[in-house]
Amino acid sequence: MVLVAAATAAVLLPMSSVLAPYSLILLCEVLVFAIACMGMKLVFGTAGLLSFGHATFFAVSAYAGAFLCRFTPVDSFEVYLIFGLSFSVLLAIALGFLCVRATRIHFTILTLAFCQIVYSLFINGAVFDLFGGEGRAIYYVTEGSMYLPRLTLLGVQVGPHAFIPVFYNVIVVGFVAAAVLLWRIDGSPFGLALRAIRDNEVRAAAVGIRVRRYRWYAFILSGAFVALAGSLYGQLNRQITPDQLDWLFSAKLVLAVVLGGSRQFLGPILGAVLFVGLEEVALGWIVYHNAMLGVLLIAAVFLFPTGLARAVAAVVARLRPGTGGGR
Amino acid sequence: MPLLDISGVNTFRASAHVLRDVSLSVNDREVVCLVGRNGAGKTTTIESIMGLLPVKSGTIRFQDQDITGLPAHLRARLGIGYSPEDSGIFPDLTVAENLMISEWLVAEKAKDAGEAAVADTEARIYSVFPEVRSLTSRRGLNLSGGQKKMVAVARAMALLPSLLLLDEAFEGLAPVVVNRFRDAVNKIKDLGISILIAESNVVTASAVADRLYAIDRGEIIFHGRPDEALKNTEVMRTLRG
Repeated sequence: MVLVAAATAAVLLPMSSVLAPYSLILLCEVLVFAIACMGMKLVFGTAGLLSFGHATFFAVSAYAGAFLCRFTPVDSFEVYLIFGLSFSVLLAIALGFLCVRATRIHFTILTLAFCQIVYSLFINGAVFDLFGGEGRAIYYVTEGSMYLPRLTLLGVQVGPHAFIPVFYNVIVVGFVAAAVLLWRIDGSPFGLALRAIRDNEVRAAAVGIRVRRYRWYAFILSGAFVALAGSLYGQLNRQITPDQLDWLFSAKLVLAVVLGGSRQFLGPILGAVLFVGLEEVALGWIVYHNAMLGVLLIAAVFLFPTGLARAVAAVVARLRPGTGGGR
Repeated sequence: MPLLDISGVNTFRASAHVLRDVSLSVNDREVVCLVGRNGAGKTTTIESIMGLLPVKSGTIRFQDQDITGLPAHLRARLGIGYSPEDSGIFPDLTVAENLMISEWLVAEKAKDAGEAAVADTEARIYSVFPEVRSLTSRRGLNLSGGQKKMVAVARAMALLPSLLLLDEAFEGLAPVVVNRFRDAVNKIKDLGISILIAESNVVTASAVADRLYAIDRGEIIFHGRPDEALKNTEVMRTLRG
């Protein structure tokens, strides 16, 4: 895995000097979205819990960091990241504690309900009111969005033109670190226990697995990775909007994981690539963008009914010498 | 003091009163069979002991500890291994992974208690079911019925239990495999593990049991040695329907 991670980093890192600015931003978005999808895969694909609440951790992480930078002299990306992550993880601990008490559709409804509660607190300005008159003023001007300055990276203020290529490296490090950690979790006894719970929670309890506790841990860990993606997204786009808090954003993560393959490690990564790619293609139809995206998603589902990761694995198996596949 | 002591247990499935004042016990290094027809209450008894069904009244004591209100995972960690009727193998996991979960939980428990983890778990499993060694890379989904039952018992053994609950361990197996399982039961007993088997075939049960309980319509109707059960025409008539 270390070799694969190093090879991935070796392929990705030089892209900042190879790709055109727009392509580089697109790649940044793919990697950030892939981190969020990998996080979602842990709770959905591995533990079998369909959450429509993970948008909360994604956006709250960026919002918390944005408020910190707006109302304190903090201008460090590292502080912004740690603060936002900590805030989201604490939220995941609390929400997860309540949500994992329910299972199946009831769990999903709880996550959806919590997500929409947080969304409404931002959309009606209640969160901004906590910061007094200035907070209220921001809410009126931005309609619930928060803007972020270019933060210092390891204490260095990077200029506007160099910022995206430099920040891209931070995203690559975050992506590779997240992938390695999640790979380790996936193959660990904890990961096996989650898969056992997903397959049959009653039998899992009967072999000694603390079903509710492990689900909670999975929820928190998953929330942390989605929050990491949220913080990176906030700094990449230099703004965070209520759109990322809406449950539809969680649905987008779920959709990408399903498209890629919810049970394969590469599934969420390939799903993120496919989803962002389809969105990009659909942008060619400005007026009918959403309808076109829908058509493309339907086509993707029919083309890869078991997920893109399985389709890729099948192609690789065919091309491998000695497996009897066509050349 | 018996290893497992159930006293006056009443269990409901939804509104149906299934177990009626069931009392039974399993002693150290003993094989006990609970025999009854389909729907008599065998699985409900096993699931009540395992904590998968809530007990309405009565007590369940294990190793002199009242476990009546304990959740299933804590009963497993206390040393009750369970092999369900449908084997309960996790289909997406390989056999090695199915076993690894239990071994990991044992290691975790030993670590919590400040003890060294038992290293010979796999040796114990393979001494009973050497066949499992060749199945380790196979996914649960791709096992035959007999293999699934073997792996289910092996997985329960990996938790280093003092008591094994085997629900319909011999059901649906070819006669040669049934003999294989009878040998396995004796080997497990030799390892110092007590066994409670829910079984519908009284002849098969009699071949392995030290003691036998017969259950019908949720009530224990007989308790004694297997040979006594076989001679009891009323019990045999009830069990054979």
